[in-house]
Amino acid sequence: MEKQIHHLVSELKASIQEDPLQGAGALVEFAMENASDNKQVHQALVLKMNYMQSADQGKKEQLVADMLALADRFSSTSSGGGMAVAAVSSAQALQVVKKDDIVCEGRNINKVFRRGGFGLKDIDFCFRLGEITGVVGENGNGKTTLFRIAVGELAADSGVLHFPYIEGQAGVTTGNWERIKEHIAFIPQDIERWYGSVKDNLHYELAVHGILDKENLEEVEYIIYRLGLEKHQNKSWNQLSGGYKLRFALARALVWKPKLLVIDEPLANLDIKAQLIILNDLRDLANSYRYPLSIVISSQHLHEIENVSDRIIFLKEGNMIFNGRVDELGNERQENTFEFASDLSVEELERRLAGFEYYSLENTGLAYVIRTPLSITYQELFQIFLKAEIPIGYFRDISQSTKKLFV
Amino acid sequence: MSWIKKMTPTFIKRLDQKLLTKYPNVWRTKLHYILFFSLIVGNLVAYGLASIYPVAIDQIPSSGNFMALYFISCVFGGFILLYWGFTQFKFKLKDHRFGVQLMTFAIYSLGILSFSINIFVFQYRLTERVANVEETQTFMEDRSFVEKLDYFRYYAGNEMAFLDQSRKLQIAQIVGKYGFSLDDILREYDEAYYAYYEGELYQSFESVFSAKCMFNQLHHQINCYGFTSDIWKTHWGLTLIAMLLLPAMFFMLSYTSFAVISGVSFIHVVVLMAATMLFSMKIVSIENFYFALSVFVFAVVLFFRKNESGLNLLSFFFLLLAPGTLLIYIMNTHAIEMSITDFGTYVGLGFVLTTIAIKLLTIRTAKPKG
Amino acid sequence: MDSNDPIHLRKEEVHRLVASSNLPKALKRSMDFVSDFSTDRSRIKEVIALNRKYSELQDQYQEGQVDESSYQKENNLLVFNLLELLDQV
Repeated sequence: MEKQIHHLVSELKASIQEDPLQGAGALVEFAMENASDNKQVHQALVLKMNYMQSADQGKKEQLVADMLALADRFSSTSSGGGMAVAAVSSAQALQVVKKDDIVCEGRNINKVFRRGGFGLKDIDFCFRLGEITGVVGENGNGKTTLFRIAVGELAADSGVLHFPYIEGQAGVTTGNWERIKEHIAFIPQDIERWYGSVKDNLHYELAVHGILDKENLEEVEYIIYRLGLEKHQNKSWNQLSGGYKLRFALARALVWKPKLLVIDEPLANLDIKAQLIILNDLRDLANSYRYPLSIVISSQHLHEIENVSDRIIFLKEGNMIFNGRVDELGNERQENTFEFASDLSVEELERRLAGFEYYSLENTGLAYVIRTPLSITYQELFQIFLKAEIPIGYFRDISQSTKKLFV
Repeated sequence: MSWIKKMTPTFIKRLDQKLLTKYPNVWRTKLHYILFFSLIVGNLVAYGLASIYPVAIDQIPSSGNFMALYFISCVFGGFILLYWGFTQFKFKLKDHRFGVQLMTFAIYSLGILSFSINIFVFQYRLTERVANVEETQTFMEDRSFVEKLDYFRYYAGNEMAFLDQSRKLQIAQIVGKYGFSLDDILREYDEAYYAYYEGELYQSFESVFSAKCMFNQLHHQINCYGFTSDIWKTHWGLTLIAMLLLPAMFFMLSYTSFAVISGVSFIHVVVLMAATMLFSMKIVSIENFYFALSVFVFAVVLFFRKNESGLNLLSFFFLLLAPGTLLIYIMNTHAIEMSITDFGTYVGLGFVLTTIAIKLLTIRTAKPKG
Repeated sequence: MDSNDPIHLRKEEVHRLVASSNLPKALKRSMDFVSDFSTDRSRIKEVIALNRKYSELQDQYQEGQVDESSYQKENNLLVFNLLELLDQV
């Protein structure tokens, strides 16, 4: 055993000397696998972090020497028994909420607006704890109507809407909207203007939800730091950018730990970086072990939404075209669909693709969409384009994306 | 506003934070600021200002001065009240329990009463000083002497041939004590047949007499009554109306936006006017019918506003209806000038009506609409 | 140790974030970790304090109030404290 460790350490040291960055990664892996002391793991992690941050050559050399020294210490102290954890896992001891519990369920929901005649037709949905449901569809296809029904703002004409998880909570009876709404947060597309500082609003929101005193102070501080609002906590509405206004709205909705969070078009006015931060945070918060929540989100940013969602609902003219898990999208498709951008005209593309079997080629205005038999893969089509010398701006396989339903 | 923050002592700021995390429904009303700035600072300032206001035996504020000062303090207090009310929509009342709503209404009424007390303290202190410019018995003697001025004036053109010069001197002395010149009064009358000084002189005496009445210094007087009493009674009448009407508006602001309040208030005022015209005057002309109809149409349009439910607007309308009805009643019975006892009775009655209106408001459920 | 144990998995996630020098995200996930698994509320305060310290340190560094080596030292200390805190949960 000891010999084996010595051998592994020698390999590790060689790796560090050869490629310090990769070696640092190996050092971390090795420490996590073999260190007998948590401090050694911490040291490995910090060394790698420092190496990545450092731009100074002299410093990098020093860090390499430190990594080698740490590797040497492994051979003398390693037990090979894996990372020692002082605390016993308390996950089982925690009273946690069971994920996948249904928070909100709608069956055969119908809603027709007298004016305009638009409506939702026989919509089924099911929002579960720990899941993110993305609702996509063109503007005016019923997303906001669906949201308003789900959060109890708008009554459906027919259908069944219930909240199994919430109605199972103490003191909440079926149909008691006052109490049910205490567990639902809704962030509309146009965030309502607020007054006072970010911090005061959060304290107030929490206090009216019955979380008072010390707990109130702690929870507000927690959500401020968790959502990166610490530098903006004393700012008012006018002093915040669109992205931070949304973050604040999120903080205000999340601070009292709702079970269902519905957000209408949150990404509309955000830059790409802000979108990623928000979506990542939502993913993490939905996955919470102790306070999981069900998040329902609508957006026109299909790829981002698909990446973050567990389920997708696609609405078209009030009808539900798709409702299922993201990985089920396109499972029963009869063809592959690809989207690409090219400077060539349709005629020229058709000319160059003569001899290649495809079902259709359409110009959507901004890009082309080509439908092919299932046998044609992404790589094959790409090769065909290269051979046919078709200049491509971008290329995307949308066979298993809701994007296919739009084009 | 930042200057308010600068002027706020640390203990109030600490209290503010305490209320925020402990009693959010009280915090949002900012009652603690009102009580501090009005009940403590405001009353001290009002008392102080009334104490330094120039009052002396030869410089007595007239009834006109009293009225002007009352008007100025009402306008000043009114602006502060409006600002306070305006802040109420910033943090919406999210607790829809009846008790909380009633408490909120009571807090607004308390704040308004506090402002009313500021104005009253100023008037009270000023009246008290005026009442004490001269010892009661001397004043009453002076007053009865000066009341004879008419007699002297009557004979002014005859060079006071028939006058008892010693009495004239005595009167001149008394008039001089109160800051006036008998010669001026007589000359003014002689030359211009104009009695400005004389009017001023009588008003000064009236001020002192009225003030002494209020402080029960004239026990023997049967008709002890003056303008001070009128001001005070009107003040409590106006306070009552403010205590019922303004909280109703502030309360509505706690739920909705300024635009909605303005809309509902406008409809309310017009409806009341129309109702008064149609029913009190018992004249139903085509103009009035048209007026009422247009109001109705406007109300219907507003009720179906996109962002505010009709039920909400109806509830708000009823909330304003209670104090509005009482206002009409008070005005019709000329009870706007009321004693402190009447004030108590009407406050009680108003609150009963308002409580019913608030109860109606709480009947709104969280049920989905549409 | 059960490799599917949520505590283990989530701690490992933070470790990897530290290793990849993504400290802001590591701190966020540490907050989630403590909130999810700690039964002791004082741990929440500790993790918030670390976040605050990190935020202040970043500000000081960006404003040139601390030199590179002090920043590095403080940053490392903060990370050690964070990792230790995770172990204590």
